[in-house]
Amino acid sequence: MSTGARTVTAPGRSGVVGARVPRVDGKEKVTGEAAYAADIALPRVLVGKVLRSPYPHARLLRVDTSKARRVPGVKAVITAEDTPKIPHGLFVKDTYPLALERVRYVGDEVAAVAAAIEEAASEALELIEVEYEELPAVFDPLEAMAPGAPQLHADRPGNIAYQLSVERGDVEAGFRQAAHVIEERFTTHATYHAYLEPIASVVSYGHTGKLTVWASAQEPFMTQAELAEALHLPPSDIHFIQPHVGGAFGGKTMDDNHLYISCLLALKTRAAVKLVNTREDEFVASRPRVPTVIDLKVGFAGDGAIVAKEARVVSDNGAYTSRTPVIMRTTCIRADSLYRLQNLRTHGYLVYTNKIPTGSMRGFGNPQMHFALESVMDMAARELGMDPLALRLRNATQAGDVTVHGWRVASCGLSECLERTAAEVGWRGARPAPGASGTKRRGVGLACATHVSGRRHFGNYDGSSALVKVNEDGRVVVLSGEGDVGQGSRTIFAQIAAEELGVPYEDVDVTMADTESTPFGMGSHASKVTFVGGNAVRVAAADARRQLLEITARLFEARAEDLAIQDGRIFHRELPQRALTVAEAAKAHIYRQGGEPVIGKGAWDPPSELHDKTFYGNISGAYPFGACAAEVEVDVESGEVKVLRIVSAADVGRAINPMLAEGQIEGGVIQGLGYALCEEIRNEEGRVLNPNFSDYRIMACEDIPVEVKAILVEPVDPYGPFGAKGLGELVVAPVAPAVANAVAHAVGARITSLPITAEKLFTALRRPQASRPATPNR
Amino acid sequence: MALWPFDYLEPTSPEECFALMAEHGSEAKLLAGGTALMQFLKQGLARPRALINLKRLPGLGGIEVGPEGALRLGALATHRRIEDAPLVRERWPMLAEMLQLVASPRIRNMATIGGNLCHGDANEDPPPLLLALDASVRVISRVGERLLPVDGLFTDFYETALKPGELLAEVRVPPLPPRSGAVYLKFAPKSRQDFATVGAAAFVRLADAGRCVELRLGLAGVAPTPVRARKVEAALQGQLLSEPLVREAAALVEDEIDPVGDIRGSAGYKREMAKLFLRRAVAEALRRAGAAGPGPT
Repeated sequence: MSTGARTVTAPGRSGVVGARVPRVDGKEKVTGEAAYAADIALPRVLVGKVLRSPYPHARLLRVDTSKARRVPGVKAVITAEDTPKIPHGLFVKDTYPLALERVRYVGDEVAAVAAAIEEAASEALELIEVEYEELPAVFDPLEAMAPGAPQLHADRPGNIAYQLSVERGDVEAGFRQAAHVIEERFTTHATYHAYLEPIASVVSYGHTGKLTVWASAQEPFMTQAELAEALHLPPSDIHFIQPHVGGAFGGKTMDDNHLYISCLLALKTRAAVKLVNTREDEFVASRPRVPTVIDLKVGFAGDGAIVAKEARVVSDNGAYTSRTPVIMRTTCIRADSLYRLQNLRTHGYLVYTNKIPTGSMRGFGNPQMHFALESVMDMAARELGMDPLALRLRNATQAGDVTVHGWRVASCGLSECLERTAAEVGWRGARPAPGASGTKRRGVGLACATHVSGRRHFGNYDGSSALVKVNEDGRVVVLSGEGDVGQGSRTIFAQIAAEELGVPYEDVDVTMADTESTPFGMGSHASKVTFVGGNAVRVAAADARRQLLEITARLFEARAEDLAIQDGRIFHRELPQRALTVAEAAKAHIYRQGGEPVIGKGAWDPPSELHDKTFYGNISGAYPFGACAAEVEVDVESGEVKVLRIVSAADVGRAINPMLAEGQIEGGVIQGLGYALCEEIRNEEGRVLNPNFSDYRIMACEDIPVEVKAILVEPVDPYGPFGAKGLGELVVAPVAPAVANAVAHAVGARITSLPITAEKLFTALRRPQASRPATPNR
Repeated sequence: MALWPFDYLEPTSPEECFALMAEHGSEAKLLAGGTALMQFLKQGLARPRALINLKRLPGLGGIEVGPEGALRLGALATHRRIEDAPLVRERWPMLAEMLQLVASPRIRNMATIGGNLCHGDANEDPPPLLLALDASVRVISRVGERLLPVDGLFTDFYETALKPGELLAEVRVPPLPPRSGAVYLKFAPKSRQDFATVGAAAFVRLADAGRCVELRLGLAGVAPTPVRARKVEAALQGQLLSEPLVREAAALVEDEIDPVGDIRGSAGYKREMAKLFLRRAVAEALRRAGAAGPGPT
């Protein structure tokens, strides 16, 4: 076991780290064999359905389920009265699985049904009688903060779910030094994760006294703990098994009520219940990205150095809170470590509104501030008469820096990402004065970003653990509770174990996460699975290797340090003919008096620290950096933006599997383009106007730029497993500002409100050229 | 997702189909490709007691040229089959181009041209071009058949001029005369697979002197039904089509459309885009008609 220890980057023993090996689950998935939660088939499983509020804000006067219960085939109809009435929510516990006395958004869960067949469940839903007394509602977070606004939660006056202030250095002095100050308001919007697999669960309960849960959840052990608390059960009475998960992107943290309801139905009926979200359920009651209003003011010295930054952040919480306080904190703080800032002040307000509760989505609040900050960087470059690339390089964080919030940046490829992105897109060549022929204008824009690889929070722990079992036939099984939601972590773990152990990649299996048989893991969040989980797997594999060497040393009557393992063979370094296979060693170890299996055990916790009361501290074990360039073509008559080309470079520390890393970059770019241009959950009086994929547009194949170029920058992080850092979330953050900067370059109009729709740009292009938003130095 | 119980019927002859239609009346919906209807059912926008699937009816899937020289498209011909048909690509290429802009290949493999028209959706791509091309439909019923211009088929929001007991059997597109050009422009800025914010089609025929002697304009997305832009047509008929003239005429569309603001744009924006894309469609149709394009006055 190693805690916070620096793992030495040893030369590989199987050469599989850094190789483009196929995914361990590739064949199952492309052939359709892979079983997802909704595919779990149990005998006599009941079908669950949920009744939702049609009102954005109302008192529940009466819920009468008597008629619904009488429908043949209906086994249970539950309301809040059938539940322990324990609220859940990871950071603020204000969400009841079924609405208690009040509903606060259109979609709020009021009652649920379990029935033998779907038709009976549907009929029962229609027969539940609910009497509502409508209450005044508020939909805009700025209005919700104002005096006199309708109040959502009695214990949260002013609709403030959470607020924070952070201040470093001397902001006033910083602005006094500034030659140029840029001040602007940016707004961002709610987007949906749009994973292929909607949230689904199968929950079984019976005389074992345990709830067995198969669900599309991205954090097996955290989900188990959260469920246990809200259901008032010991955690070990909940057996969580993670099936294949069809994408998560932060949307399967189970902060919504889906899984609580399926568990409550199973407990009530003492049977197995299946609950599968429709796509509409997803759009009205999952947990979309947090819309944010950011007032940002940044001061620059004449040479481009950032001398002060001031921000006010208002995050739209929706009706209930789950992870949003920390998401807003991420919006407020994380982007500050992109550059060498010293003086800053930020106030953040998380505000309740009568809309769908918001939550985590790839980037966790970080893309919101990156859109604002990276737009401001280009606005400043224009004011300063500087090249936006040079301005960024002038301020870029470097390896060895301790940033303004105390991050200790051990490896940093930010400047390299910027330079290689610019070179690839032909930065100087691609930025001529925009042409004036016809109705099309082209432009190129750049932006960069930073993120984390895990984040210390929960019980001062941000680690992981793993077991590496060497079977008697020489095959290796990695047991990890981190799970895989489609990002490819099982493949990465197999590569890491094979490399560390010295066995062929094909000989390594990685189990699915299961709270009864895999060791504790925090699951997929904060881009930590490769970095933290991978280190735990590496430590466990090293332990198994040590055991194999000791076993062989005894058999050979040699010293363990004189032995080596490669390609599944254990041999004496000086006498290579003295060799046996891993299978022979493992078998010899068990088939003897007092024999035992070879099981390596590993745990790893990064050398990070909790932040202090002022949010200062090295919160993560490693920080990835990235840059993105977009080339766009704008139709000046319609406002339509076409993205012609994207280049995205990511400092991944080291790519364990370049193919998967490039896939993450390409997927992140496409999700980022959706965020920038077309995706948006639209509301009217709290009702979602586009709860389906006809009206909520994600990027279709034909919309994706012909060229999406992924560049892997590999400075090799001293703490990462074989040097690897997190990647998944980072790549989304710079896309929207790169597009906004490219549009501004093409047509001179600066769009400060996402998404950059054709109509917004059309309107902006028809506005008389307003004076630039820069304010004079004070 | 389970739907409610309904009768599912598959007639194998027109007579059987008409009998079923008569028996179930307005409680029945006709099912062709199903790409629109099934969405309606799943979203609860229609709740028929019977679905009459037309797929076993013989002779409704043809793609051929009639004795009068018109393209005859059987109502059950899918978008994909029409867009891929060499006959269409060679002689009515604008039709193939337009169909390629509809949704995605998966949808086009299922969706039929007859189903598209009967759905009566003002946002669909085929109607504006069929309006501009002066297409008509052959409608059959127990008592006989009639020919109905596409211009006149659409009566209101998702409503058509088909009477109870009538079945749209065929779409007829006239041959393209010499010195004519036609085009459909789809403006769907969020996604190529989206419905049009505005769709505009133009057909132009020129006389020897270069004057426009025949012109029809169709629009999608700007009114409760697909519409002709008749005032714009009237202003351009018989004229030498210069760029300023087309621009001025396109502005007349204001009075002929009634767009609704929705997730694809505000009413005002759709008005502006209707003018823009009408103007662009006329220019492109002119270019195809062999004119040098809208030149200086």
